[in-house]
Amino acid sequence: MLERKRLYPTLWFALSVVALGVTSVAMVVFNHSGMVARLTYAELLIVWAGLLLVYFIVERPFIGSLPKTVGSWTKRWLTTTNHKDIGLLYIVTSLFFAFVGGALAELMRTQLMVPDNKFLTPIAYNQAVTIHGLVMVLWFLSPLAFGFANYIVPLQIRAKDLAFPRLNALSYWLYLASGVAAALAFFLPGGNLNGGWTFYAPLSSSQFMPGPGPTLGLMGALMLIASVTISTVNFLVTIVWLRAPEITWAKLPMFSWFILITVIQMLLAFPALFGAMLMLAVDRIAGTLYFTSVSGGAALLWDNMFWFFGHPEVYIVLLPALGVLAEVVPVFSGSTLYGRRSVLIAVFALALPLGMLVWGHHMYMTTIPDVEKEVFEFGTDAISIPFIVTIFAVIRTLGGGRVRLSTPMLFALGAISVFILGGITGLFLAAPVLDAAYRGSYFVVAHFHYIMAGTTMFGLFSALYYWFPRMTGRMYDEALGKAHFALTFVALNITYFPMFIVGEMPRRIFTYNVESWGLPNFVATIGAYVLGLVQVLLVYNLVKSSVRGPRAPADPWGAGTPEWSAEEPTTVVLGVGSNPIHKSSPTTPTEGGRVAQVERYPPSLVVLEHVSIRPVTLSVGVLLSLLGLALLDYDRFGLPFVALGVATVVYALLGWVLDPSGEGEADRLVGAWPFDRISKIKLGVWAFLLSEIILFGGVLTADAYVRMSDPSVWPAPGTLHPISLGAISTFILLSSSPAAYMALSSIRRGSVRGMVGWLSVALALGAAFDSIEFYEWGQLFSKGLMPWTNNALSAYYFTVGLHATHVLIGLIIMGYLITRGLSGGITQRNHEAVEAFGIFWSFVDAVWVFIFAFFFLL
Amino acid sequence: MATLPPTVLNWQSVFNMYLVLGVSGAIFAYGLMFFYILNGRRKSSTGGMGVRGGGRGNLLTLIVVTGIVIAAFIAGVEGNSFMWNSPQNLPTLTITVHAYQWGWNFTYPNGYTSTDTLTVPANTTVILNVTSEDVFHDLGIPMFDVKADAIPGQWDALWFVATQTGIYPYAIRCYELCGVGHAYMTANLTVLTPSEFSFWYAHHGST
Ligand code: HEM
Ligand SMILES: [Cu+2]
Ligand SMILES: [Cu+2]
Repeated sequence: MLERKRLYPTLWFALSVVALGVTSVAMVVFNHSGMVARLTYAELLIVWAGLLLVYFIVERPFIGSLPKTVGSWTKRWLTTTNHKDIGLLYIVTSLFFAFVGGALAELMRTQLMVPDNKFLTPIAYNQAVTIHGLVMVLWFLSPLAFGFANYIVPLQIRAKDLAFPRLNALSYWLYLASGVAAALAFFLPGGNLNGGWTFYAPLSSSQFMPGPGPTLGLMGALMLIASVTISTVNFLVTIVWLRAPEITWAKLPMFSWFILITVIQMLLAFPALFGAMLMLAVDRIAGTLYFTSVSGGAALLWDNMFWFFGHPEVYIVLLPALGVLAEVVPVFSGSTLYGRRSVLIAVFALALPLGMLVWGHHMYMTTIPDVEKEVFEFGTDAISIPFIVTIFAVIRTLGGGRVRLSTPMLFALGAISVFILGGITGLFLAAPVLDAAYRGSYFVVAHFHYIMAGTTMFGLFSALYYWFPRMTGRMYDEALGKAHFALTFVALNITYFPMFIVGEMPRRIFTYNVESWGLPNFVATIGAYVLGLVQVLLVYNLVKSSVRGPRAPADPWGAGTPEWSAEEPTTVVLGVGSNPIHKSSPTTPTEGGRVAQVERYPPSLVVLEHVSIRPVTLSVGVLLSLLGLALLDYDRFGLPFVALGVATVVYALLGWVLDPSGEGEADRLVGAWPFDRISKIKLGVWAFLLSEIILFGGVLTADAYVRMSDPSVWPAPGTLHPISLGAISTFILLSSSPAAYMALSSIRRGSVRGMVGWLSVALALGAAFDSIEFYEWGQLFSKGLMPWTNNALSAYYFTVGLHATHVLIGLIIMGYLITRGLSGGITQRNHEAVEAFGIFWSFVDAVWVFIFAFFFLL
Repeated sequence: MATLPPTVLNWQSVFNMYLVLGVSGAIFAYGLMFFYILNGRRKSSTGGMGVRGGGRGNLLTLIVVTGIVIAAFIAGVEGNSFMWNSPQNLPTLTITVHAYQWGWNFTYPNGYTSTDTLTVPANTTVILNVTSEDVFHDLGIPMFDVKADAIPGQWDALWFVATQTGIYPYAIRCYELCGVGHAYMTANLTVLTPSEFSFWYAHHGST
């Protein structure tokens, strides 16, 4: 029986959930295409979601055992930059997206249950399949893994927090906002993206997929990549830099190792996708021709760029889960990981270089040369070796001691079992001759669901149970956990095994008329219903146990890894940064962020938190701007959104740089070879530049590809772009680099005036450069030479525009540095920002040389 | 004429080899796993010492697996070259296919075109040269285990030899999402005896 006090809130909760569900189903079933109907549904959904949110804010069901906040609860969760809070936010949000993606999957399975079903329209199905795939991979699995990474990695390396806590908060809020963008896209004309999660060109161009809806979906994905890039850099710097002296590389726990390998791979893969999606978005909005021009080889260009990202992406999703296995299996078999060092070598080899070199196995049926196909086949076969080594090492680990079959271990073993099946079918797909039967079929769907919905999801569920006591201080219900495992495991196999059997059925078809495909599809749908339904056990267990579970001992599994011995504060005070609860610090911080004296609160249990509202504001601003941009493609109606969005972004950025940062000098000094001479910020900049190199490398490679596919439209040097003007602008830009260097050496000598002077020179030169570029654009426009005139101009405008934007960003940073310098914020001992800027600026200059050569000289 | 088409025979011989390797690998892996689990359940002490010799054991896995994988690769390469080189010892018919949203347009050497049915002679090497007029499609004929992407601006090719006459509804399907008509992007296949085909071809010839 519910107590009286809880009855009304529970009713409130139930009603808003039901309303949400009914509205969503109605929206899908009736599938109106008119703007008004779509917007009405959107409004309704927002109202229901708002009601639901009120429930969560008032009732706070999840946080029964989290540290108490002094001050406003809402404020805490909006402004927190603490890695544990952000981790929890990631976990809860990603589970919510799992629900979204799962609901879409249930809709699809319902449609496919029987032949010739009429439940979904083709366009609704295509949107569902696309967004399901994207959401499950990009908004559920990876963020869930990074939720754990946020919470656990700093504890495992005994760091106070991530290297850049405010940027970490920004990652989270951008992630949430990007999900909102992708969801909003359903309600705009044109509907959401509907060309599959692979966005094959030219289907994804505005000719075949018109409207602002798909553009917004694309923007959402771009925003997500921005979030991913920020957190990649953050984790890289954190793991390299912030390890406590006793956590040497040899002692670094496996989960942190796997996260490190994952982020390295992310750093290399995501910029390629960013480049490709940016080109696609600019194609859609500004009319460039990358993915529409047949003569530019549009379709194959997209294939190459997408899968250069896409294959590493499947490892990016998988590796954290394997890291969990490497952590959980030893603990529950009373053992240590079998051959730890050789496993690490194997995993490194599969991430880098092997993982980056096999994308072509997604292109076996295209027109790339047969030799290339066989090289890719060889690479793909080769990559199975480190996988098999790893998984056998995990299996051998089981032989070390007594095996305990608690829920985390069950999920880990489940992950291994389905990985064996999924991995072996992958070997079949690696052979072009066999792929002739499998490409584009349900065999592929079965294979990747065994890996992703099977191995990865099980691995992460294992983590969820394993670290639950660490995160909430309470134990989950073991019986429920075991039931959840058993049912999920069975249902998963009932859902996906039949898909191997209908291997000849094309994937992504919304209906079929073949009798013999009926039974396997029917069984799969029943499995999918059960699979969806039993997740209630998980949610119930988590919610119930976090409030009422028995108190957990400090290290319930006897794991002995560092995260279990870190202390947990019981109270959190929001102290430094924007919007602090206490304007002036109520405390005298001592080492490690601990607080010695707090007015009314018991001393040893309080942590002074750095907070910032800027990440939220900034993310909302970006969301609004992108929404506006997407709408522009449809109507002027987008302009106010863009204006409002940009204003918000500027406001947030100003606040960002002016707020006290609270990141002390103390955490600057840890680090080990080969990084001991590089500071935290500089390492961050270098990592970021690596992704920039890949972005520009990708764009220039694409330009070269377009050019080689149809050299005829490329004007001879000097005809289109005057070489002399180009040379002058190149000279101007290049001379700004020495100026930036002079600024650095001035401040090293202690001369703030010198620094400001030289920075002003560099600023003026950079501004002159951008002006010349835009002057040239004006000239071209006036001659009627537009981005859509031909491939050469399209590539020129895009590439130069991308570079000019980088210059512009450099100018803004210089403006900021000059202001900081004038107000005394930069001194001889504290001039890292200038140095970091110098690195960025040299990079921007160097890239220009390539662009200049490509468009003006060759 | 009950023999299987050569492309299918080729496919099956590679598949069977992979199946043997895959199933034995899986049995070994599952067996080892369950052995350790059952064994590990019986142990009493919680504090195990870990397993010794991990590095060497992993090296052994590496060596064994490399051997297996190389065998698989070689089998694959043989299968590929069969699939990529059409047989020269049979008469050949080359047909051009234009994929479009949402259907296939088959053009014969004599200029005859058809959109709903591909008619071919048995025991003849049929080569399909495939391209697309709009978006990415993929032409697949599951009964022959062959596929080719239809890519705008590119020409892809596949070949097959039909060994059994008959009418095969929906034998040809699109295997790449190409818009709302993707599910309906099918075509039928009719296989005639060579003499029937000559007759049919003459009657549907260039007009
Ligand atoms: C971790 C969980 C999951 C992941 C990562 C995942 C991932 C994906 C991806 C990437 C696609 C391809 C989308 C595309 O073709 O564009 C897909 C398709 C699909 N998924 Fe999932 N999925 C997950 C769970 C599920 C579940 C639980 C179900 C069923 C209840 C499901 C049913 C389907 C169906 C029916 C398709 C369409 C297949 C097709 O027509 O190609 N998925 N999924
Ligand atoms: Cu791949
Ligand atoms: Cu299609």
